[in-house]
Amino acid sequence: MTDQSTPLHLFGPEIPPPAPDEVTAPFWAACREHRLVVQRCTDCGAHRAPPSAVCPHCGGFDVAFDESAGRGRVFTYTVVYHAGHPAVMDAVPYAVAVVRLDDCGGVKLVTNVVGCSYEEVRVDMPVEVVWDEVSADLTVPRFRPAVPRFRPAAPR
Amino acid sequence: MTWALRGRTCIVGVGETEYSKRGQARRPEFALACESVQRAVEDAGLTMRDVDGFVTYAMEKSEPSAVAQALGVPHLRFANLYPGGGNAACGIVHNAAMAVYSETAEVVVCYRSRCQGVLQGRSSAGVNMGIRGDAPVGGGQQFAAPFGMLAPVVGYAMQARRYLHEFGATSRHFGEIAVAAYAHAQRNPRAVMYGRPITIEDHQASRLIADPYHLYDCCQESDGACAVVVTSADRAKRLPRPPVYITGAAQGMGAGDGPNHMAWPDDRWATAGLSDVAREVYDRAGVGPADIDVAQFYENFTGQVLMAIEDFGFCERGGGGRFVEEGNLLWPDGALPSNTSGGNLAEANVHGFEMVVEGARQIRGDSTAQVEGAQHSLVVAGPSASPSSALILSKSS
Repeated sequence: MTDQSTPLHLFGPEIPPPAPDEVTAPFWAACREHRLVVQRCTDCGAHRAPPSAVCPHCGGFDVAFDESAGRGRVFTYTVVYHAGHPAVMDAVPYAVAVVRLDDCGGVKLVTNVVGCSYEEVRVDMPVEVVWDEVSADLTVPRFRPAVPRFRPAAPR
Repeated sequence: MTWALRGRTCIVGVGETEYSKRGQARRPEFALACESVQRAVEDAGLTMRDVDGFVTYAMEKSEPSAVAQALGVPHLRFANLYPGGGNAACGIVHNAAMAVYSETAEVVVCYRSRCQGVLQGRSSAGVNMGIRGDAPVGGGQQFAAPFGMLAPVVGYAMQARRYLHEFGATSRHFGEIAVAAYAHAQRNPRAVMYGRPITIEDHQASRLIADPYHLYDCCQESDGACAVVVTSADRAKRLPRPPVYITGAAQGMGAGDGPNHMAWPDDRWATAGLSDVAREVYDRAGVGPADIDVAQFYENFTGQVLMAIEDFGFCERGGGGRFVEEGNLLWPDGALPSNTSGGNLAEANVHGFEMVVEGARQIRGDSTAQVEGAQHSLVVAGPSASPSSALILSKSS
């Protein structure tokens, strides 16, 4: 029987890597340490994602980065079937999702759902972060179905 | 108070090159741009000596001053680029109308040319998103491309999924939009899909591109160019074509909207982001949805059309599926014949500007799917792409 679940390391080496700038570099640096961080405005306290230069709520430029527990729910998703780029030739079909984090102001992130079949992905599905070490320089946060935190006691 | 610009300017000429599938144009993109401008000016009963303004989209490579120089325009007074892509189709006419009304220029040509073959590369390979092979990507795309979000369809499909989740519509509802567009294209010899009708079963059987979108939910990739000429209502009365009055125009976006979709409010996702533009274009023209006789809704993808129909108040929120299922988009008997030339799906994807041409034809009375006695023609650009834009074109001022 073949394993139908989408692998964590799902794209080929041609996948375009991020070109971090001074605003986004702290996010990608944290990813290399397997920490999912979210920008917080130190003036008004609002979280925002992805990292951006100025707070849309108060206009502030100063930020801190809060670490998320990496759990959330699928807000929406698509399953990509058409391979228009060489990096995804062997990955299709794969799920791209918008995940809303449970913490850090409930910000949304674009990611992939891996570790299950693309056919199992649903809106509102609970997911948790898992780290794909794409290269020595780049680690990318993807998400897998969440393992329930508290399992019911086994029947005696 | 009546909107200052209502009925003060007109579309007085339209022009198109031959439309073809990507890579099949007989001329390079710049030549297509010039050809479409020449045709529109000739159609208006004017010469290049009369033209003193050009407006196009920011993505256009044939820039206004280059086109003006190539065509021997003696005095260029207004040159303008509206931001973005398909969202700009109506905004460029709005900008032209403002230039004419303010007496900045007298005769302004709006145009868009596209060769999606060798010259520009394919939209479906992400060229419009700045994807170039395996080169690193900056800006907002650095939070999309590493996740295999490498073509526009991926983001639009996630919005469509959210719409289906919230309102219980189905892929068949999206299919109704494609079937109507292809049906209209069978009457239009300019259409790339002329002679190639499809059924709802063809739509359902077409391959998945990005779920829930099938092949027939996606706009074509085309080569071609088209243009319209805008001048004052006074001058329009002395020209040969029936004046197409620009009675309403609006552009922009609402709170929290913009290219960073992750910052959108939750309730923005299952819409086309056009509610503010819709309200303003109706107010400015002094009409409402019940007054609109024919409409062109830019189709990047079919679901965005469904959401735009709702944003413009032709049915209640979430009622778009039932609205299209009842055949309301079909010429001649539907309540709102829409995309009557075939649009981006089945005529040609000239970044939606061909839909402005069709919207004007409906008022002139020379569409290939002419709505009898159409008084008000709505054109909606770039659902879910900002800043969006819309026009109401009318038979009288």
